[in-house]
Amino acid sequence: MERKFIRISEKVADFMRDSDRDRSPDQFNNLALEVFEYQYRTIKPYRRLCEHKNKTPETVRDWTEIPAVPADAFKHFTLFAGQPDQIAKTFRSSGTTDARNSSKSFFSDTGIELMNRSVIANAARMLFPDDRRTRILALAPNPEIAPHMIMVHGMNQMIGQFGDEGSRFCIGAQGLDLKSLLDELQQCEKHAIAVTLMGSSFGFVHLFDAMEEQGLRLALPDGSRLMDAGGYKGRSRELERAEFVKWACALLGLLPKRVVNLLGMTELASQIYDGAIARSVRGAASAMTMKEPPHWVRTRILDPTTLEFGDLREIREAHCPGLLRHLDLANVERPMVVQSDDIGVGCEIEEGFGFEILRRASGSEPRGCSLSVEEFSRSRPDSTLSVSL
Amino acid sequence: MAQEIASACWLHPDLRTSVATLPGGTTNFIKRYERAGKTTDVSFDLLSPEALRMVISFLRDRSERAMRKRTVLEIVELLDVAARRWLDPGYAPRQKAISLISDITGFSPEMVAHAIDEEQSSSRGPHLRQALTNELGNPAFLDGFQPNRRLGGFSYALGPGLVGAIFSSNIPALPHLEVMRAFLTKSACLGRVSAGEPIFLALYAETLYELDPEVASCLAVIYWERGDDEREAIFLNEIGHLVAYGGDGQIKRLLNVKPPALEATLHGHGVGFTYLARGALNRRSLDELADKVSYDFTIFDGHACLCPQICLVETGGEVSPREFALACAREMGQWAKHLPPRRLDLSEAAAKYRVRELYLMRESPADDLEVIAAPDDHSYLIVLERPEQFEPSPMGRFFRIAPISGFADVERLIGPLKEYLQCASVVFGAEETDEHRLLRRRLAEWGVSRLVPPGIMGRPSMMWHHDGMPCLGKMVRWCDNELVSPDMLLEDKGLSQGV
Repeated sequence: MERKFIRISEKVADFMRDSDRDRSPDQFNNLALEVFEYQYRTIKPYRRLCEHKNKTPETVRDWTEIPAVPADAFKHFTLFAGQPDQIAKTFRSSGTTDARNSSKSFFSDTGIELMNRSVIANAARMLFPDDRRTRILALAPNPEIAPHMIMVHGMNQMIGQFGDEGSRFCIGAQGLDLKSLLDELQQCEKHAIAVTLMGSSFGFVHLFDAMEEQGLRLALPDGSRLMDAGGYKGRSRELERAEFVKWACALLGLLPKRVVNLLGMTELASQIYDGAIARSVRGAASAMTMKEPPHWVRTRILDPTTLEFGDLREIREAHCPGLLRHLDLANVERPMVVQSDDIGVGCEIEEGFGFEILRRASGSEPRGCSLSVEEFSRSRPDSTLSVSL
Repeated sequence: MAQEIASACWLHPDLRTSVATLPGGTTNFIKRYERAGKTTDVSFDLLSPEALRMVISFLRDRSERAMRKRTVLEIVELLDVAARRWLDPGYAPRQKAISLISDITGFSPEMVAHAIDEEQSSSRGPHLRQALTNELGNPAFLDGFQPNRRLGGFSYALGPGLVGAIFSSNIPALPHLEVMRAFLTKSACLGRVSAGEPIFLALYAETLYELDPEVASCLAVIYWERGDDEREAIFLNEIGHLVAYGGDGQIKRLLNVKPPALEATLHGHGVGFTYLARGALNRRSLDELADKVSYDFTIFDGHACLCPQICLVETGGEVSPREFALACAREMGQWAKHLPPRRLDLSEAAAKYRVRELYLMRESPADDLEVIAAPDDHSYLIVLERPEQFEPSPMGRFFRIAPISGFADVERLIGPLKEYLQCASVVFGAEETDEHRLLRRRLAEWGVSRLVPPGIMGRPSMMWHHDGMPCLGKMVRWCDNELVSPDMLLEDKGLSQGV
């Protein structure tokens, strides 16, 4: 299996490199089917799912038929195509101290390499389309502190590829040193060093608050940009986003078309950016909040109430929101089709199609006298029950 | 097309007129419900604190007048006529309720209609009379002093005057139960509807008004938003008895904020289960048993405390747990046709989807887990598994069948749930052994308050001591007029004839 894995990974890497012009229409489909067959043969829980759905390499002819695993499956199963001793790195989702409730993504050395290629190719397209080397300041813990964070790993790759020699992670063992970060930003402003700030959306809020408190306003040099990952769950995303961009521009002196949001999931090797920077470089009209998957990722929208798929081509007014489902070819050794709990709508944008995330599907249960899973687990905090299924 | 907007709140016309004289007495607002592409607007009236006090004193006043001059059996008769109307498929308010409740809650129209049929059938006169007899001995005790043979004198049962009820929304068209209980103790009822199912009670109030405007004046249906402490405090301070449905948080909170002296009947969370002993598992009655158990797992889509969350099936019978599960797969499909599943919103559907897919991935015969049925339309899910511990069902016709070897497994799985246990459907088979009798007692000791055969879990009798409580008995206060010394009661058996 090992040799097969390496061969497929190489094909995927080649496919990532190919420009639009070089790709034939069937290429994505053929590659997806090949990866599917490999995963069907090697990832046991995934195979069970496929068998139940009667979707096997013999019956599946189109990538849209390939079964998806729910993102939660990464919490409950070891979803890895290789042998346990081939696992070189394990990434975990954050936000919870309970190991059972965090997703785990396993990578072999080859898998890491493929992910790195995806990160770089994607960043080159969406974050650094001007091919400019900037001072990357990551509002994130460094890889030694947070070896399990997939976002940190990706940022580290970007620092290596696109950062100047002063690029660094700003969160160390002592936490975020705001003062030195602000000092450095002022230095960059003074010496006309273009800066790329990257971090979690929440992290930036802290920075903004601190600047606001100190009455500090910067005008970062031309070529500077900001990339925030994630968002704020449970609140109106559109408002938050507009607000976020407004603050970033007011406090850092950035143009709105230099503020980009990234969707990253521990369960995927590739990320999905919105088109703010890429589109402005191409000279296309701004469509800031629309996410544009790279050509090795395809996103579809599932309406779980009807179990039908919406087409990304449908313009947002014309159809109901649904759950985003991503196919990531770079996930060769983990199930490549992942059903997320993000609710989004498809959008028509110039030269293609994208999507917009609206909110997360909450575990909403109607109130009543029948005990729900959520309430049961809440009522027994010490319970060792596995109530997650 | 302009449509008449349904109202969640209901006041007697006389009361409405009085409230209208208060400046700012009511504030009207509209709540919009959207589910599966359907939009429903419901109109709510928020009473000012002053108006709420006016409503309360009106109800107390009217209950004194209207209830006192009627016998309890006349009230039973009225409620019986109301139930008959609601049971008539052609009754316009019923049709309206079915369509609105379905649009608002997502329950299929068939399920709502079925719920109304079930509940109103149990609301017929004979059931109400029997319930009164069951809890009070003689219903006429509520009309004044009546001979009480065992006492050797006379007894009189007095209702609380005004029952305040806080409803939940999980069972469609149920709130009238508490109105009936209040009226049966010759008391008025002030009901706060749930935003989740706000329209049934106002329609039911209208029926009572058509039948007997005076008795209907003892009912008011109101609403306040969660967290409105001011109105809730007035409500709690002025009522004579509190009845409330809700989750753990809500019930605990109410216990904390209610006046200490206020009597309360609280219905919190409940967990139901089905237990089939091996003696019940024979080929001859397999289909019938599977049909009934499947019905229990279908009713209300699992959203009621009465519904079973797990089905324990003993091994070693003529029919194995797996064969039973396969029989249920056929029956669940039939029930899904008769009583189609709830229409879910995005998040609910996402959760249901996730549970199903994770089970399909988990399945492993070696680990005693088998997905018996997972139809493509996600209408239900049947799994056969041996859980280490009880896990609550994610509802929505999730049907978990757990093979067990006997009583020890029941204790392991169900015993720890004590505080939540409510309804159990139990079948031992033709021969009931000492072990079975012991088990029945153990279930009662653990907290089960209702034991039934399969097929009626969702349809409790009015005679049931709801959550272990005599709900009518709990609401009344007694005055006993003793005529002889207690010693004489036991000595002279002939005494009773003299009274």
